[in-house]
Formats: sequence, structure tokens, C-alpha cells
Amino acid sequence: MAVSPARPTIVLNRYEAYLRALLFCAALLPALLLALRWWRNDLGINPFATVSHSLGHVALIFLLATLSITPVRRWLRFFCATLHLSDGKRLSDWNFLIRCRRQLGLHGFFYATLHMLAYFELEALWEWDYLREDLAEKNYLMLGVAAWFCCLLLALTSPKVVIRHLHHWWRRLHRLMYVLSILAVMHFAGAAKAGNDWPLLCALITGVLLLHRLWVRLHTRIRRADDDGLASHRRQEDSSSHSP
Amino acid sequence: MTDELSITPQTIFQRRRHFIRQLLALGLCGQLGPVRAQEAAFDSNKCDSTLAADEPLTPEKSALHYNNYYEFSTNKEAVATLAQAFTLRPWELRVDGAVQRPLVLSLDDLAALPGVQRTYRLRCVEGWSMVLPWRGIPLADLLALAQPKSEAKFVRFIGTLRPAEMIGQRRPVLPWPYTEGLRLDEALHPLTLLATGLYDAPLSPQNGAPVRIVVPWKYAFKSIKAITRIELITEQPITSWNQTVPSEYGFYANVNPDVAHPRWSQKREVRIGELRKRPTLPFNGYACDVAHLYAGMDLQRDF
Repeated sequence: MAVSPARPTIVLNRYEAYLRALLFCAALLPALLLALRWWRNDLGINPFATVSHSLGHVALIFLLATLSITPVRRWLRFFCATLHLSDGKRLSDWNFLIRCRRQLGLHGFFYATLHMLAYFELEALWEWDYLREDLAEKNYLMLGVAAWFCCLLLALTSPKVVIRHLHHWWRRLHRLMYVLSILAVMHFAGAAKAGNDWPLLCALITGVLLLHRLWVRLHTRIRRADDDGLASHRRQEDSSSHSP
Repeated sequence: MTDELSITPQTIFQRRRHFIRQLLALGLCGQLGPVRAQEAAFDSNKCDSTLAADEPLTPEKSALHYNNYYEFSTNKEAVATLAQAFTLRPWELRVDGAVQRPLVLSLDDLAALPGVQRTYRLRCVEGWSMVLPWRGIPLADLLALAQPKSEAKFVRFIGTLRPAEMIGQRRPVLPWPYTEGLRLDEALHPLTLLATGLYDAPLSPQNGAPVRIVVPWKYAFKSIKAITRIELITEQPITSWNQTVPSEYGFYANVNPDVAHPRWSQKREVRIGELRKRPTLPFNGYACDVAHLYAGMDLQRDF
């Protein structure tokens, strides 16, 4: 069946290159904004906290966004099918979202690195002894460092050449994202002071995103291998044609 | 009707103020003598750069909008707004317990006492610090008026319990009212201040108005705000933070870069307004004034 080119969901796929460029610019905005505030001497009452916290927050937001793409596509398909929306299943045809995932993750890595550099420059002042003691004293610092190393591994294996070389190992390696998100949220919860409810919200979001994957895995009827959001329909067709 | 009856007639009110002035006069020639002498010795001490820290003052706007005051909120930048609802008058500050002369002071009574200006560093246990110009009365002067009995060894300070205005008290973050304490020699130390003003102005509600304690060599949670009662007691009091998390907040809570908070290092602090951290000094830079108070004590254990 020919698809009308006027469908907005499909049109978006066509302008993928532009969308990705737009995403790139948008992702740079928090860093530029912070630089502008620094230049204007407008970093608030506690500039140290503003710089280190906001970089950490942005990194976490990008990581959670990366983690949410697959579940959100699936949920969109489910809701659109349930509500019989005309564009329904095609919302999950935004395949460019899947291709944006790596880019989102890399933006997250960029901010996580800035977050860590801010710690070295503003707090540890590049003194090795201080760093060693601080790592031993702050439990959440270790979690942050571990999360960053996971991030680094994923960033290093994200170019297309590396993906081709790793074959199916790439997919397995990049499940490290699940571990990484748990580490990052625990780091945030440990660093935040009592009475700050944001880590709880992040933990809830991460929990839902990870439980979704667990649920999918347990329900093996939904095959992950060729899941393009239409798998269940195709399976219905299969069963209707083959079963007696 | 009852309200009218409970108002103190003006004559009695003025008589009480007169009585306080008499007390004060008595104190200045009698009880306050040794304290004044101690302060003079302290002034002439070589290492007392402390009474007027030569570091630049923290901008007033920062001090007014960055407040750890859980009675209102755990969000430091929300306190300034929430605290405006706090009623400051009438106010009663009671000094009682093991004293010869229990006192009940109004804010006017406090204002009648001779005040001092002090610029102190303030170091929060969270790792940030400020330099603030306080105005107030040396706590030793007030205690001298009450004449502590010989069995008094500790001082307990009790804050305000008023959840209708202090909305943070509706959550059991800490046991309310906020309670703090000092050893009597710490309370009598000339650096310990009963503050009523900041930056040439009366204290703002978010900074602990109308009257608070300032103990510059200890983490700032010891410097209790909006106090209603000073009680002299014989045993070490139970204090809010120490009771809540004893492993993290000691009774002494002297600023000490060598004793880490269980969740972070205390070696560095960020001076509000600066971007990079700076080293934290033992006793917040007041070591030569107060270190002798802790001679022979294991400060790793009694943190």
C-alpha cells in the first residue's frame, strides 16, 4: 500500500539529517547558556554548586532520554492502536529516533565529562591526594566515576566502524546502559541532600524504563529480534494462515 | 477580654526595663568584671585577627537569599520568601535553669544591653562559607546577668516551635523545636555572640531574627536561630542534629578539616561568591582563640 507523503510521521523520517543537526544544536544550548552565565558573572549565589549540579543534571537528563526512546516508541504504538488514531502505528515508524539514540547518549557523555572536569577544576583542584581521599570518603563519588567509565566505553564503541566490527557483541555491550543508568541515579541520590526529592523522581523514571524492558523480556511472545512495533500484528497474520 | 488582661501594664513594663538596667549596672561592676578582663586579654593576643576578619564581606544579597533554615524549607533559596511570614514581636527570651537570677527579656531589653560589632567567618557543615558582619551582645554578658550557679556545666538553646508560620516544621525532618547546646566555657567564650543584627540592620527572619547564637569556630548548625530559651543545665543536652544523625553531626561540631563528614570531606569549602573551593582551616581559623578549650580531648572521637 502506498503511503501518502503528506503523513507527518513519515515526513519527519525524510528530514532526519536536519532533525539531527537541530538536536545537536539544542544539546549544546545548556553548555552555551552556562558559559554565558559565567561570562556575565551571573551564576547565582553559589556558582560552584550551579556549575557542577547543572552539568550533572543535564548529563542525567540525556541518559534518561536515551534510555526512554525504545519504551516510548512501544507505548506510543500501544496507545495509538488502542485509541484507533489514524496515524496510529506509524508513530513508531519514526525510525530516526532509534538512530538518534546514539547521538543522545553521546551528548550525555559530553555533559558527564564536563561534570567530572568541573569537579577536578573546582573542587579537587587537580590534586591527586585530595582526589584519593575524597573518593574514599564520598561513597557516591565512586558510583559517579564508575558510571562515567561505563559511559566512556559506550562512547568509544559508538562509531559505525566499531559497531560493524563488534557484530552482535555491540548490542550486548550496550546493555551496559542499564547498569550505567542505575549507577548515575544512585550517584545523584547520594550527592543530593536530605529533603531533595529530584533523585526520587529520577529513580522512578529509571525504574519504569528498566522494568518495561524486564517485562518485555519475560513476555517472550514479543520477539525482540524483529520488533518494529508491528510484530504482534504480523504474528496474528502468521497464525491465521498457518494454523488449522 | 482575656487578651486585654494579659497585656502587661506599661508601668510594670517600664519598671522591668528599669530593673534590667539595674541588673546590667550591677553586672558591669561585679559579674562582668572577669569576662571583660578575659576579653581584654583576648584582644591583646597576637593571633586575634578574628574580631575583624580582613577578608571581603559576603555580598549582603547572598546572605539574605542563601539560608539553611529547615524550619521553613530545606531549599536554601526558598527560605527568604517563606520566612517573611514569621512574626517577630512580641518576643520573649528566657534565661533560666541553674541560674541565680532567671531572666525574661523582651527585644527592647536586649537592645538596651551594650552591643558589639563582629565580623566572623561562617562555615556550614555542607561545605560552604561566608564572611558576615554581625551585631549583638557577647553571650557571656547575658549569662553574667543571670549568674549561673556553680553546678551549671552546659547551656541548652531552644528555638521556636510555630508550625503555623514555620511550615518546614510540619514535616518531621528534625525534632522540633530546634535545640542546640554548648559547654559552659564555650558559651562564655568572648567569641560566642548573641546576635540581633547583620550588616548594620536588624536580623532578617531568614537569618534567625529576632535573636540567634553565633559560634564562629563551629559548623553553623550550632549557631541556632530564633531562640526563645537559654537554659543552664548540669549535663550535656540532647541536640536536634546530633540526636537525628549522631554519626554525622557531633555535639562539639568544631570546624575540623581532618574529620570528614561520613558522606563528604571537610577539607575544603566554597566561599559564597567564589567558583573554586578553598582549604578549610582548623576551628574555622579561630584555633589560637579556642583550641585551648579542647586541650587533651580526642577531637577525632569528640567531633
